[in-house]
Amino acid sequence: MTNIPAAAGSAAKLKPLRPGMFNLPAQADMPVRLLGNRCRACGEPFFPKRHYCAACTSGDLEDTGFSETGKIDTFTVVRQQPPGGAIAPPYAIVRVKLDDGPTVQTIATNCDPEKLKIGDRVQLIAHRVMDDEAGATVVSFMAQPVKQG
Amino acid sequence: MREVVVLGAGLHRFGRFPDLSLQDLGREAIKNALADSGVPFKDIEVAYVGRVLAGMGAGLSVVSEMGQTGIPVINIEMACGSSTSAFREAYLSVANGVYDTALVVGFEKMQRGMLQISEQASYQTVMGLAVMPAAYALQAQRYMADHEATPEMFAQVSVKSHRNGALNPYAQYQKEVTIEEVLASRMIADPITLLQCSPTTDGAAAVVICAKEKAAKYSAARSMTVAGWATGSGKFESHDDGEGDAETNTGEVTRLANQAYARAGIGPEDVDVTQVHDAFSPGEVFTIEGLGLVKAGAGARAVWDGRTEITGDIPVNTDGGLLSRGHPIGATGAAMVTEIFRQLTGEAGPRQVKGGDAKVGLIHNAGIGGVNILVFKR
Repeated sequence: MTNIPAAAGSAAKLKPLRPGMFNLPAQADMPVRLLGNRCRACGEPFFPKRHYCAACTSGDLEDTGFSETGKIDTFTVVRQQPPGGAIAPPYAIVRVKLDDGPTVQTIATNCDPEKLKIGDRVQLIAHRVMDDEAGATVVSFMAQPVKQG
Repeated sequence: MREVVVLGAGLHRFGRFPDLSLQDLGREAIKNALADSGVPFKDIEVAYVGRVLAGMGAGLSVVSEMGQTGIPVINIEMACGSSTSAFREAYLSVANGVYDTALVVGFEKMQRGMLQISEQASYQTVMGLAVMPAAYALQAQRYMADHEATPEMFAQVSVKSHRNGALNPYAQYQKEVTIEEVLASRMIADPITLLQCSPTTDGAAAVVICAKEKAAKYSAARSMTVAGWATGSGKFESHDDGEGDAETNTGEVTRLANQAYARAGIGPEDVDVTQVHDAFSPGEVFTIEGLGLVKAGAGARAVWDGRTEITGDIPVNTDGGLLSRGHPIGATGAAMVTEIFRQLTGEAGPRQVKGGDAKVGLIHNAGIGGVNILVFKR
Protein backbone atom coordinates (compact mmCIF):
# COMPACT_ATOMS: atom_id res chain seq x y z
CA MET A 1 0.00 0.00 0.00
CA THR A 2 1.37 3.38 -0.98
CA ASN A 3 0.19 6.18 1.22
CA ILE A 4 1.73 8.90 -0.97
CA PRO A 5 0.90 8.42 -4.65
CA ALA A 6 3.75 8.48 -7.13
CA ALA A 7 3.53 11.09 -9.89
CA ALA A 8 1.78 10.16 -13.09
CA GLY A 9 4.41 9.48 -15.73
CA SER A 10 7.76 8.51 -14.24
CA ALA A 11 9.55 10.55 -16.93
CA ALA A 12 8.58 13.80 -15.18
CA LYS A 13 11.54 15.96 -14.25
CA LEU A 14 12.63 15.53 -10.63
CA LYS A 15 13.33 18.53 -8.44
CA PRO A 16 14.53 18.41 -4.83
CA LEU A 17 12.25 20.02 -2.24
CA ARG A 18 15.31 21.96 -1.04
CA PRO A 19 18.66 22.01 -2.86
CA GLY A 20 21.69 20.42 -1.26
CA MET A 21 19.93 18.15 1.22
CA PHE A 22 20.46 14.90 -0.67
CA ASN A 23 21.93 13.62 -3.94
CA LEU A 24 19.16 13.72 -6.53
CA PRO A 25 18.73 10.30 -8.19
CA ALA A 26 17.75 9.79 -11.84
CA GLN A 27 14.31 8.55 -10.88
CA ALA A 28 11.91 8.85 -7.99
CA ASP A 29 11.97 6.10 -5.33
CA MET A 30 15.70 5.47 -5.86
CA PRO A 31 18.05 5.48 -2.83
CA VAL A 32 19.50 8.79 -1.63
CA ARG A 33 22.36 9.80 0.61
CA LEU A 34 21.66 12.69 2.93
CA LEU A 35 24.23 15.48 2.59
CA GLY A 36 25.25 16.87 5.94
CA ASN A 37 28.44 17.77 7.69
CA ARG A 38 30.58 16.66 10.59
CA CYS A 39 32.45 18.69 13.19
CA ARG A 40 36.21 18.32 12.72
CA ALA A 41 36.77 19.24 16.37
CA CYS A 42 34.42 16.81 18.15
CA GLY A 43 33.16 14.50 15.39
CA GLU A 44 29.46 15.27 15.83
CA PRO A 45 27.45 14.67 12.62
CA PHE A 46 24.69 17.04 11.49
CA PHE A 47 21.82 16.93 9.09
CA PRO A 48 20.88 19.41 7.76
CA LYS A 49 24.28 21.08 7.61
CA ARG A 50 25.22 23.60 10.28
CA HIS A 51 27.70 26.49 10.17
CA TYR A 52 28.71 26.01 13.81
CA CYS A 53 28.77 22.78 15.80
CA ALA A 54 25.76 22.54 18.14
CA ALA A 55 27.76 20.39 20.56
CA CYS A 56 31.13 22.17 20.85
CA THR A 57 30.51 25.48 18.95
CA SER A 58 33.43 24.93 16.54
CA GLY A 59 33.05 26.53 13.10
CA ASP A 60 35.25 23.89 11.48
CA LEU A 61 32.90 21.39 9.84
CA GLU A 62 33.43 19.22 6.78
CA ASP A 63 30.75 18.15 4.31
CA THR A 64 29.88 14.49 4.30
CA GLY A 65 27.23 12.11 3.07
CA PHE A 66 25.51 9.67 5.40
CA SER A 67 24.43 6.07 4.96
CA GLU A 68 21.24 5.39 3.01
CA THR A 69 20.01 3.00 5.65
CA GLY A 70 19.10 3.01 9.30
CA LYS A 71 16.49 1.80 11.74
CA ILE A 72 13.35 3.27 13.21
CA ASP A 73 14.01 4.70 16.68
CA THR A 74 10.38 5.74 17.08
CA PHE A 75 7.42 6.74 14.92
CA THR A 76 3.88 8.06 15.04
CA VAL A 77 1.03 8.17 12.56
CA VAL A 78 -0.24 11.70 11.92
CA ARG A 79 -3.98 11.75 11.25
CA GLN A 80 -4.70 15.46 10.93
CA GLN A 81 -3.07 17.67 8.31
CA PRO A 82 -0.80 20.28 9.91
CA PRO A 83 -0.80 23.88 8.64
CA GLY A 84 1.39 24.19 5.53
CA GLY A 85 1.81 20.42 5.07
CA ALA A 86 1.69 19.09 1.50
CA ILE A 87 1.10 15.44 2.35
CA ALA A 88 -2.36 14.09 3.08
CA PRO A 89 -2.76 12.13 6.32
CA PRO A 90 -2.60 9.48 7.52
CA TYR A 91 1.17 9.32 7.20
CA ALA A 92 3.89 8.17 9.57
CA ILE A 93 6.63 10.40 10.93
CA VAL A 94 9.65 8.25 11.69
CA ARG A 95 12.73 9.09 13.69
CA VAL A 96 15.52 7.15 11.99
CA LYS A 97 18.91 6.40 13.48
CA LEU A 98 21.17 6.27 10.41
CA ASP A 99 23.77 3.53 10.43
CA ASP A 100 26.71 5.92 10.34
CA GLY A 101 25.27 9.32 11.00
CA PRO A 102 22.82 11.40 12.96
CA THR A 103 19.20 10.72 13.86
CA VAL A 104 16.81 12.28 11.34
CA GLN A 105 13.07 12.72 11.16
CA THR A 106 11.18 12.08 7.96
CA ILE A 107 8.05 10.50 6.49
CA ALA A 108 7.68 6.76 5.96
CA THR A 109 6.57 5.90 2.44
CA ASN A 110 5.74 2.92 0.19
CA CYS A 111 4.42 1.10 3.24
CA ASP A 112 1.41 0.63 5.46
CA PRO A 113 1.99 3.12 8.29
CA GLU A 114 -0.18 0.96 10.57
CA LYS A 115 2.35 -1.87 10.34
CA LEU A 116 5.52 0.02 11.26
CA LYS A 117 7.48 -1.11 14.29
CA ILE A 118 10.27 0.42 16.32
CA GLY A 119 13.51 -1.26 15.19
CA ASP A 120 12.40 -1.80 11.57
CA ARG A 121 15.19 -1.30 9.02
CA VAL A 122 14.58 1.47 6.50
CA GLN A 123 16.11 2.66 3.23
CA LEU A 124 16.13 6.38 2.46
CA ILE A 125 14.72 7.16 -0.98
CA ALA A 126 13.72 10.25 -2.95
CA HIS A 127 9.92 10.28 -2.98
CA ARG A 128 7.34 12.67 -4.37
CA VAL A 129 6.06 15.42 -2.05
CA MET A 130 4.09 17.37 -4.68
CA ASP A 131 4.30 18.75 -8.21
CA ASP A 132 5.43 22.32 -8.82
CA GLU A 133 3.82 24.86 -11.19
CA ALA A 134 6.12 23.81 -14.06
CA GLY A 135 5.06 20.18 -13.76
CA ALA A 136 8.27 18.93 -12.15
CA THR A 137 7.99 16.24 -9.48
CA VAL A 138 9.22 17.72 -6.21
CA VAL A 139 10.88 14.98 -4.15
CA SER A 140 12.35 14.79 -0.69
CA PHE A 141 14.09 12.12 1.32
CA MET A 142 11.73 9.60 2.89
CA ALA A 143 12.12 6.29 4.69
CA GLN A 144 11.00 3.07 3.02
CA PRO A 145 10.89 -0.04 5.20
CA VAL A 146 13.28 -2.69 3.90
CA LYS A 147 10.72 -5.44 4.47
CA GLN A 148 7.16 -5.25 5.60
CA GLY A 149 5.09 -8.35 6.27
CA MET B 1 19.65 39.23 46.21
CA ARG B 2 16.55 40.27 48.17
CA GLU B 3 13.74 37.93 49.07
CA VAL B 4 10.74 38.37 46.78
CA VAL B 5 7.14 37.43 47.50
CA VAL B 6 4.02 36.93 45.43
CA LEU B 7 1.25 39.06 46.95
CA GLY B 8 -1.60 38.25 44.63
CA ALA B 9 -2.71 36.67 41.39
CA GLY B 10 -5.74 36.70 39.15
CA LEU B 11 -7.18 35.37 35.92
CA HIS B 12 -9.67 36.14 33.24
CA ARG B 13 -11.56 32.92 32.75
CA PHE B 14 -9.98 30.70 30.10
CA GLY B 15 -12.16 29.75 27.14
CA ARG B 16 -13.19 31.01 23.72
CA PHE B 17 -14.29 34.63 23.72
CA PRO B 18 -14.58 35.85 20.14
CA ASP B 19 -16.26 39.07 21.27
CA LEU B 20 -13.59 40.05 23.80
CA SER B 21 -10.35 41.86 22.98
CA LEU B 22 -6.91 41.25 24.44
CA GLN B 23 -7.47 44.43 26.44
CA ASP B 24 -10.72 43.03 27.87
CA LEU B 25 -9.01 39.79 28.90
CA GLY B 26 -5.84 41.39 30.27
CA ARG B 27 -7.65 44.18 32.16
CA GLU B 28 -9.79 41.65 34.02
CA ALA B 29 -6.78 39.52 35.02
CA ILE B 30 -4.76 42.55 36.17
CA LYS B 31 -7.74 43.97 38.10
CA ASN B 32 -8.19 40.63 39.87
CA ALA B 33 -4.48 40.27 40.67
CA LEU B 34 -4.23 43.81 42.04
CA ALA B 35 -7.34 43.33 44.20
CA ASP B 36 -5.97 39.98 45.41
CA SER B 37 -2.64 41.58 46.36
CA GLY B 38 -3.87 44.83 47.89
CA VAL B 39 -1.36 46.70 45.71
CA PRO B 40 -2.81 49.68 43.80
CA PHE B 41 -1.79 50.02 40.15
CA LYS B 42 -0.06 53.35 40.89
CA ASP B 43 2.43 51.44 43.09
CA ILE B 44 3.44 49.10 40.24
CA GLU B 45 6.90 50.13 39.03
CA VAL B 46 7.38 47.79 36.06
CA ALA B 47 5.35 45.29 34.05
CA TYR B 48 6.67 42.21 32.29
CA VAL B 49 4.28 40.76 29.74
CA GLY B 50 4.31 37.25 28.25
CA ARG B 51 2.56 37.05 24.88
CA VAL B 52 3.24 35.31 21.58
CA LEU B 53 0.72 35.80 18.78
CA ALA B 54 -0.45 39.35 19.53
CA GLY B 55 1.02 42.15 17.44
CA MET B 56 3.69 44.74 18.12
CA GLY B 57 3.55 46.43 21.50
CA ALA B 58 0.60 44.40 22.72
CA GLY B 59 1.90 44.44 26.29
CA LEU B 60 1.63 48.20 26.60
CA SER B 61 -1.77 48.33 24.96
CA VAL B 62 -3.10 45.96 27.63
CA VAL B 63 -1.25 47.26 30.71
CA SER B 64 -2.04 50.90 29.92
CA GLU B 65 -5.74 50.04 30.25
CA MET B 66 -5.12 50.33 34.01
CA GLY B 67 -3.61 53.82 33.72
CA GLN B 68 -0.76 55.55 31.94
CA THR B 69 1.71 55.88 34.78
CA GLY B 70 4.79 55.92 32.58
CA ILE B 71 6.23 52.63 33.82
CA PRO B 72 8.34 50.40 31.58
CA VAL B 73 6.28 47.63 29.96
CA ILE B 74 8.45 44.82 28.66
CA ASN B 75 7.16 42.32 26.10
CA ILE B 76 8.60 38.82 26.43
CA GLU B 77 8.23 35.84 24.11
CA MET B 78 9.29 32.23 24.71
CA ALA B 79 6.40 30.47 22.99
CA CYS B 80 4.31 28.53 25.52
CA GLY B 81 6.72 29.46 28.33
CA SER B 82 6.42 33.21 27.80
CA SER B 83 4.80 34.29 31.05
CA THR B 84 7.08 32.27 33.31
CA SER B 85 9.91 33.98 31.43
CA ALA B 86 8.18 37.28 32.19
CA PHE B 87 7.84 36.18 35.83
CA ARG B 88 11.54 35.32 36.05
CA GLU B 89 12.61 38.68 34.62
CA ALA B 90 10.28 40.50 37.02
CA TYR B 91 11.60 38.44 39.92
CA LEU B 92 15.25 39.18 39.04
CA SER B 93 14.59 42.91 38.74
CA VAL B 94 12.94 43.04 42.17
CA ALA B 95 15.41 40.64 43.81
CA ASN B 96 18.27 42.79 42.56
CA GLY B 97 16.74 45.94 44.01
CA VAL B 98 15.94 47.71 40.75
CA TYR B 99 12.21 47.81 41.55
CA ASP B 100 10.14 47.06 44.65
CA THR B 101 6.86 46.05 43.03
CA ALA B 102 6.30 44.44 39.66
CA LEU B 103 3.37 43.16 37.65
CA VAL B 104 3.55 40.01 35.55
CA VAL B 105 0.93 39.61 32.85
CA GLY B 106 0.29 36.89 30.29
CA PHE B 107 -2.43 36.84 27.67
CA GLU B 108 -3.34 35.26 24.36
CA LYS B 109 -6.14 34.84 21.89
CA MET B 110 -5.59 31.63 19.92
CA GLN B 111 -6.87 30.59 16.54
CA ARG B 112 -8.52 27.21 16.21
CA GLY B 113 -6.56 24.24 14.89
CA MET B 114 -2.97 23.10 15.13
CA LEU B 115 -0.36 25.66 15.97
CA GLN B 116 2.11 26.46 13.18
CA ILE B 117 5.44 25.74 14.85
CA SER B 118 7.94 26.07 12.02
CA GLU B 119 8.53 28.67 9.32
CA GLN B 120 6.07 28.45 6.45
CA ALA B 121 8.76 27.56 3.89
CA SER B 122 10.82 25.10 5.92
CA TYR B 123 11.11 21.59 4.52
CA GLN B 124 9.73 20.28 7.81
CA THR B 125 6.53 22.31 7.36
CA VAL B 126 6.04 21.23 3.73
CA MET B 127 6.71 17.55 4.53
CA GLY B 128 4.29 17.67 7.46
CA LEU B 129 7.02 17.01 10.04
CA ALA B 130 6.45 20.15 12.10
CA VAL B 131 3.58 18.75 14.12
CA MET B 132 3.53 19.61 17.81
CA PRO B 133 1.47 16.61 18.99
CA ALA B 134 3.81 14.37 16.96
CA ALA B 135 6.79 15.57 18.99
CA TYR B 136 5.09 14.23 22.13
CA ALA B 137 3.74 11.17 20.29
CA LEU B 138 7.20 10.11 19.09
CA GLN B 139 8.44 10.23 22.69
CA ALA B 140 5.35 8.42 23.94
CA GLN B 141 5.74 5.57 21.43
CA ARG B 142 9.38 5.13 22.43
CA TYR B 143 8.38 5.32 26.11
CA MET B 144 5.83 2.53 25.65
CA ALA B 145 8.47 0.38 23.95
CA ASP B 146 10.93 0.96 26.79
CA HIS B 147 8.60 0.75 29.80
CA GLU B 148 5.48 -1.05 30.88
CA ALA B 149 3.16 1.71 29.76
CA THR B 150 -0.04 1.68 27.73
CA PRO B 151 -2.11 4.26 25.81
CA GLU B 152 -4.64 4.02 28.66
CA MET B 153 -2.06 5.38 31.09
CA PHE B 154 -1.54 8.49 28.96
CA ALA B 155 -5.29 8.86 28.55
CA GLN B 156 -5.63 8.79 32.34
CA VAL B 157 -3.69 12.08 32.49
CA SER B 158 -6.55 13.71 30.61
CA VAL B 159 -9.20 12.06 32.80
CA LYS B 160 -7.47 13.42 35.90
CA SER B 161 -6.95 16.88 34.41
CA HIS B 162 -10.61 17.21 33.44
CA ARG B 163 -11.68 16.05 36.91
CA ASN B 164 -9.60 18.89 38.36
CA GLY B 165 -10.80 21.36 35.74
CA ALA B 166 -14.39 20.60 36.74
CA LEU B 167 -13.50 22.09 40.15
CA ASN B 168 -12.02 25.27 38.68
CA PRO B 169 -14.41 28.11 37.77
CA TYR B 170 -11.69 29.68 35.59
CA ALA B 171 -11.07 26.55 33.50
CA GLN B 172 -12.01 26.34 29.82
CA TYR B 173 -13.45 22.85 30.31
CA GLN B 174 -15.30 22.30 33.57
CA LYS B 175 -16.59 18.86 32.71
CA GLU B 176 -15.29 15.43 33.63
CA VAL B 177 -14.50 12.91 30.89
CA THR B 178 -14.23 9.13 31.11
CA ILE B 179 -11.22 7.16 29.94
CA GLU B 180 -13.47 5.58 27.30
CA GLU B 181 -14.33 9.05 25.95
CA VAL B 182 -10.67 10.06 25.88
CA LEU B 183 -9.59 6.90 24.04
CA ALA B 184 -12.54 7.06 21.60
CA SER B 185 -11.93 10.69 20.64
CA ARG B 186 -10.32 11.28 17.24
CA MET B 187 -6.74 10.03 16.90
CA ILE B 188 -4.38 12.94 16.17
CA ALA B 189 -0.92 11.31 16.31
CA ASP B 190 -0.72 7.82 17.81
CA PRO B 191 -1.18 7.32 20.74
CA ILE B 192 -2.47 10.88 21.32
CA THR B 193 -6.20 11.40 20.79
CA LEU B 194 -7.98 14.76 20.55
CA LEU B 195 -8.91 14.82 24.26
CA GLN B 196 -5.21 14.41 25.08
CA CYS B 197 -4.35 17.67 23.28
CA SER B 198 -4.54 21.04 24.98
CA PRO B 199 -7.29 23.12 23.40
CA THR B 200 -6.96 26.49 21.70
CA THR B 201 -7.85 29.08 24.29
CA ASP B 202 -8.32 32.77 24.96
CA GLY B 203 -7.34 33.95 28.42
CA ALA B 204 -5.19 36.12 30.64
CA ALA B 205 -3.39 35.82 33.95
CA ALA B 206 -1.58 38.32 36.16
CA VAL B 207 0.64 38.15 39.23
CA VAL B 208 1.86 40.90 41.59
CA ILE B 209 5.28 40.49 43.19
CA CYS B 210 7.06 42.65 45.76
CA ALA B 211 10.32 42.81 47.67
CA LYS B 212 9.59 41.08 50.99
CA GLU B 213 11.05 44.01 52.95
CA LYS B 214 8.55 46.34 51.27
CA ALA B 215 5.54 44.02 51.46
CA ALA B 216 4.36 44.72 55.03
CA LYS B 217 2.17 47.65 53.97
CA TYR B 218 0.20 45.37 51.65
CA SER B 219 -0.85 41.88 52.75
CA ALA B 220 2.40 40.19 53.72
CA ALA B 221 0.62 37.81 56.08
CA ARG B 222 -0.67 36.09 52.98
CA SER B 223 2.09 35.52 50.48
CA MET B 224 4.45 32.98 49.02
CA THR B 225 8.17 33.38 48.55
CA VAL B 226 10.01 32.81 45.30
CA ALA B 227 12.42 30.16 46.55
CA GLY B 228 14.12 28.88 43.41
CA TRP B 229 14.20 29.16 39.66
CA ALA B 230 16.02 27.87 36.63
CA THR B 231 15.71 28.54 32.95
CA GLY B 232 17.44 27.32 29.86
CA SER B 233 17.18 26.43 26.22
CA GLY B 234 17.57 22.93 24.85
CA LYS B 235 21.12 21.72 25.27
CA PHE B 236 22.40 19.72 22.32
CA GLU B 237 22.57 16.01 22.99
CA SER B 238 24.72 13.80 20.82
CA HIS B 239 23.11 12.25 17.71
CA ASP B 240 19.90 13.86 18.65
CA ASP B 241 17.35 15.35 16.30
CA GLY B 242 13.94 15.89 17.74
CA GLU B 243 14.84 15.19 21.34
CA GLY B 244 16.93 18.34 21.37
CA ASP B 245 13.78 20.40 21.79
CA ALA B 246 13.62 21.31 25.46
CA GLU B 247 9.83 21.02 25.51
CA THR B 248 9.88 17.21 25.35
CA ASN B 249 13.41 16.46 26.53
CA THR B 250 13.32 15.10 30.07
CA GLY B 251 17.12 15.31 30.42
CA GLU B 252 16.82 19.05 30.02
CA VAL B 253 14.07 19.21 32.64
CA THR B 254 16.25 17.31 35.11
CA ARG B 255 19.24 19.58 34.53
CA LEU B 256 17.13 22.69 35.19
CA ALA B 257 15.08 21.22 38.04
CA ASN B 258 18.28 20.36 39.89
CA GLN B 259 19.41 23.99 39.55
CA ALA B 260 16.09 25.22 40.90
CA TYR B 261 16.08 22.73 43.79
CA ALA B 262 19.63 23.78 44.73
CA ARG B 263 18.65 27.46 44.76
CA ALA B 264 15.60 26.65 46.91
CA GLY B 265 17.55 24.35 49.24
CA ILE B 266 15.07 21.52 48.70
CA GLY B 267 14.78 18.22 46.86
CA PRO B 268 11.90 16.79 44.84
CA GLU B 269 10.71 14.89 47.95
CA ASP B 270 9.86 18.24 49.58
CA VAL B 271 7.41 19.32 46.85
CA ASP B 272 3.74 19.34 47.92
CA VAL B 273 2.06 20.45 44.69
CA THR B 274 3.22 20.77 41.09
CA GLN B 275 2.12 22.39 37.85
CA VAL B 276 3.60 20.86 34.70
CA HIS B 277 3.37 21.67 31.01
CA ASP B 278 0.89 19.06 29.75
CA ALA B 279 0.35 20.51 26.27
CA PHE B 280 -0.30 16.86 25.36
CA SER B 281 -1.03 14.12 27.90
CA PRO B 282 2.38 12.39 27.76
CA GLY B 283 3.87 15.68 28.95
CA GLU B 284 2.77 15.01 32.52
CA VAL B 285 4.31 11.53 32.49
CA PHE B 286 7.67 12.66 31.11
CA THR B 287 7.86 15.76 33.26
CA ILE B 288 7.17 14.20 36.65
CA GLU B 289 10.07 11.88 35.85
CA GLY B 290 12.28 14.72 34.66
CA LEU B 291 11.52 16.70 37.82
CA GLY B 292 12.50 13.70 39.96
CA LEU B 293 9.02 13.39 41.53
CA VAL B 294 9.06 9.73 40.45
CA LYS B 295 11.80 7.47 39.14
CA ALA B 296 12.59 7.35 35.41
CA GLY B 297 10.11 5.00 33.74
CA ALA B 298 7.66 5.14 36.66
CA GLY B 299 5.64 8.17 35.51
CA ALA B 300 2.88 6.44 33.57
CA ARG B 301 2.29 3.98 36.39
CA ALA B 302 2.23 6.84 38.94
CA VAL B 303 -0.54 8.56 36.98
CA TRP B 304 -2.44 5.29 36.57
CA ASP B 305 -2.22 4.61 40.31
CA GLY B 306 -3.68 8.05 41.12
CA ARG B 307 -0.55 9.49 42.67
CA THR B 308 -0.90 12.76 40.70
CA GLU B 309 -4.54 13.30 41.70
CA ILE B 310 -5.42 16.14 44.10
CA THR B 311 -5.69 13.45 46.77
CA GLY B 312 -2.46 11.72 45.73
CA ASP B 313 1.01 12.07 47.22
CA ILE B 314 2.35 14.13 44.27
CA PRO B 315 -0.62 16.21 43.08
CA VAL B 316 -0.08 17.63 39.59
CA ASN B 317 -2.07 20.23 37.62
CA THR B 318 -4.68 20.70 40.31
CA ASP B 319 -6.44 23.42 38.28
CA GLY B 320 -6.94 21.19 35.24
CA GLY B 321 -3.61 21.93 33.59
CA LEU B 322 -3.22 22.89 29.97
CA LEU B 323 -5.55 20.04 28.95
CA SER B 324 -8.63 21.26 30.85
CA ARG B 325 -7.93 24.75 32.23
CA GLY B 326 -6.78 25.60 28.70
CA HIS B 327 -3.62 26.86 27.04
CA PRO B 328 -3.64 30.48 25.84
CA ILE B 329 0.07 30.16 25.22
CA GLY B 330 1.24 33.54 26.55
CA ALA B 331 -0.94 33.25 29.68
CA THR B 332 -0.26 29.67 30.72
CA GLY B 333 2.80 30.26 32.90
CA ALA B 334 1.19 33.06 34.92
CA ALA B 335 -1.89 30.86 35.39
CA MET B 336 0.39 28.16 36.81
CA VAL B 337 1.78 30.69 39.31
CA THR B 338 -1.79 31.68 40.18
CA GLU B 339 -2.76 28.09 41.02
CA ILE B 340 0.35 27.50 43.13
CA PHE B 341 -0.47 30.74 45.01
CA ARG B 342 -4.01 29.46 45.72
CA GLN B 343 -2.61 26.13 46.91
CA LEU B 344 0.13 27.55 49.17
CA THR B 345 -2.19 30.15 50.71
CA GLY B 346 -4.81 27.47 51.42
CA GLU B 347 -7.36 29.17 49.17
CA ALA B 348 -7.78 26.48 46.51
CA GLY B 349 -11.20 25.40 47.83
CA PRO B 350 -12.31 22.03 46.45
CA ARG B 351 -8.94 21.68 44.68
CA GLN B 352 -6.94 22.16 47.88
CA VAL B 353 -4.16 19.62 48.42
CA LYS B 354 -2.72 18.26 51.66
CA GLY B 355 -5.53 19.66 53.82
CA GLY B 356 -4.36 23.22 53.25
CA ASP B 357 -0.90 22.43 54.61
CA ALA B 358 1.03 22.61 51.32
CA LYS B 359 4.37 24.35 51.91
CA VAL B 360 6.30 23.93 48.65
CA GLY B 361 5.00 24.41 45.10
CA LEU B 362 6.81 23.62 41.86
CA ILE B 363 6.20 24.84 38.30
CA HIS B 364 7.47 23.49 34.97
CA ASN B 365 6.49 25.62 31.98
CA ALA B 366 8.02 24.81 28.60
CA GLY B 367 7.98 26.55 25.27
CA ILE B 368 9.61 25.72 21.97
CA GLY B 369 13.24 26.39 22.75
CA GLY B 370 13.16 26.58 26.50
CA VAL B 371 12.04 25.52 29.94
CA ASN B 372 11.33 27.52 33.09
CA ILE B 373 11.29 25.93 36.53
CA LEU B 374 10.01 27.88 39.54
CA VAL B 375 9.91 26.86 43.21
CA PHE B 376 7.73 28.64 45.75
CA LYS B 377 7.50 28.32 49.53
CA ARG B 378 4.68 29.39 51.78
